[in-house]
Amino acid sequence: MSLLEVRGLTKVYSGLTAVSGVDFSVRDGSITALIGPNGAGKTTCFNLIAGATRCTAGRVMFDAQDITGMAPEQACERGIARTFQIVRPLTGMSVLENVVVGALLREHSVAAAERQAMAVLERIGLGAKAHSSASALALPERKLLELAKALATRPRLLMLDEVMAGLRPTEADGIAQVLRDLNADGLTILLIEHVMRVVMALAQTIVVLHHGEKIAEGGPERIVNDPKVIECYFGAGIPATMEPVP
Amino acid sequence: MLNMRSVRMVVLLLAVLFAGPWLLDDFILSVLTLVFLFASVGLAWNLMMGYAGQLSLGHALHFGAGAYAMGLLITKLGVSAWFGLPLAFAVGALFGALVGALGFRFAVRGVYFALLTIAFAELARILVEHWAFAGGNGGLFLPALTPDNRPLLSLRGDSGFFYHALLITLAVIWLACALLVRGRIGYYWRAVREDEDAARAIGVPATRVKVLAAALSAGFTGVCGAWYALIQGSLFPDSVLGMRMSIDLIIAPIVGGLGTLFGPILGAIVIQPLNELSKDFAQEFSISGLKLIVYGAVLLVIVLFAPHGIWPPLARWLRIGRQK
Repeated sequence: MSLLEVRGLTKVYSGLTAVSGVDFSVRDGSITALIGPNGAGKTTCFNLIAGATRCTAGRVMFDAQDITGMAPEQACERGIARTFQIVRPLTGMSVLENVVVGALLREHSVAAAERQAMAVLERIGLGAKAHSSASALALPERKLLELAKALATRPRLLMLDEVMAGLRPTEADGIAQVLRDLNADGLTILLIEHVMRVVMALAQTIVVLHHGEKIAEGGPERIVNDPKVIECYFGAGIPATMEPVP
Repeated sequence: MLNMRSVRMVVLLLAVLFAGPWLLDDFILSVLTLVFLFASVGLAWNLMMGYAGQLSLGHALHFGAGAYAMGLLITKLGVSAWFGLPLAFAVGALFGALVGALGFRFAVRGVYFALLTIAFAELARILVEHWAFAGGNGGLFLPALTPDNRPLLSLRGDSGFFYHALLITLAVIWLACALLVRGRIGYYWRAVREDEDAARAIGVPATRVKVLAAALSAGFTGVCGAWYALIQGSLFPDSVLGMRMSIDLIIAPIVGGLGTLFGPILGAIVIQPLNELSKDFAQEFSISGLKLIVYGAVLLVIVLFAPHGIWPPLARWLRIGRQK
């Protein structure tokens, strides 16, 4: 059964079509990746699903309910949490306080929210930084904070916009492991990612966008051998293999 | 929350301050009364600006609304001033919610929102200037106190009475602000202040939260306006609803430190006596305008050397505040 279903999603910015008639679905309990070259419309898709931007046409169904055009905070209330590609920590607050804001969605008492926020920080390995200012964090930690804020809202669908970008491979593997654990606990994940190594290792389904349109959808094996995908990444005439050179 | 040590400190401080009328002369009492009044209204404005991050430059609207609500209640209806305090809160909060809802609903942000608040305050001033029932330009005068006046019924009395009344008002508003900003709503306000879109993405209903900040801030401001009416005994549209009042209301929290619970109090302690001193100074040398020059120069120095207000560096120096 699909938790998220997107039908004919379209966004037109005064003449420029950023996303055009995109259909895909995210199976409950799966990890799905949204990939594509820069400017393919991946982040726009995220904004349309999470309510940050209104779509021109199309439908977004979450848990069999129509959530098209819903405000971001309402989408979050329903169980959709997203991170931003350009991280947006609440810089005037401590790391813990940032996460408490997210936790307060389900916990009305500040003390309970603090406990829950601390548990989230411990889980993703940011516990030691709980009391430092969010503005004092380095980029990898800011990415983790972005993840922690989203997780604290106890989502059913976690949408991650390039959380691995800019991280060292070991750090990326660390996050990948956390995501795998969360997924094993039943969290459905939709991620935008450029680090193909991670995408291949994590995703069960991959959706490929190019120029705002979906050009392929399927399991990792099928996607890497799809000529249209290879063409959009490398141009035509490149041999159809993505195996690393020994 | 508040630990026992700081609770004991605050109670002790309040007890000492409460003894003021038996120790100080009338002039000092009246200056301190204004300190308490402007500290209270500074705290109220700070909820909206310092915590929720919404700049209002038209808080005179709520101050004046509270003042006129109290004034009209006493002069036209002859009802006890005790009803005037909740009424002033309600009227202020209503105006605050209205301006906030209009601005936030149509996504008017930042300086444009500030302009909107000025427009509403000026509109109110002009309307009241032409509102004959409320005395118009000529002002509204509270009836003179009778010899058998009982301050606890009329809420008007000598300088000692107002000193106590405003001290209690300040304590109540401070406590309300402290509880609010340390609670769920306080986290939401700060999240909206830092990044509204990021806050909404993690479930903060930004518009509702901002309207609530505007309403509460305006409500407390209205109560302060009501006290101002009782202290002054006369109200003029220009003095309680004018731009000058909007500016006077916000200087204490800015000088003391935005987004802190002690900044507005400290700011008022610095600003009000300074105001009085520079007035004396100007009279001494009989140069008109000298008052404003002295006042302006001191403000300039504070803003230059303590751009975040004087409370944050002072708190660091005293080693108080959050130690975790």
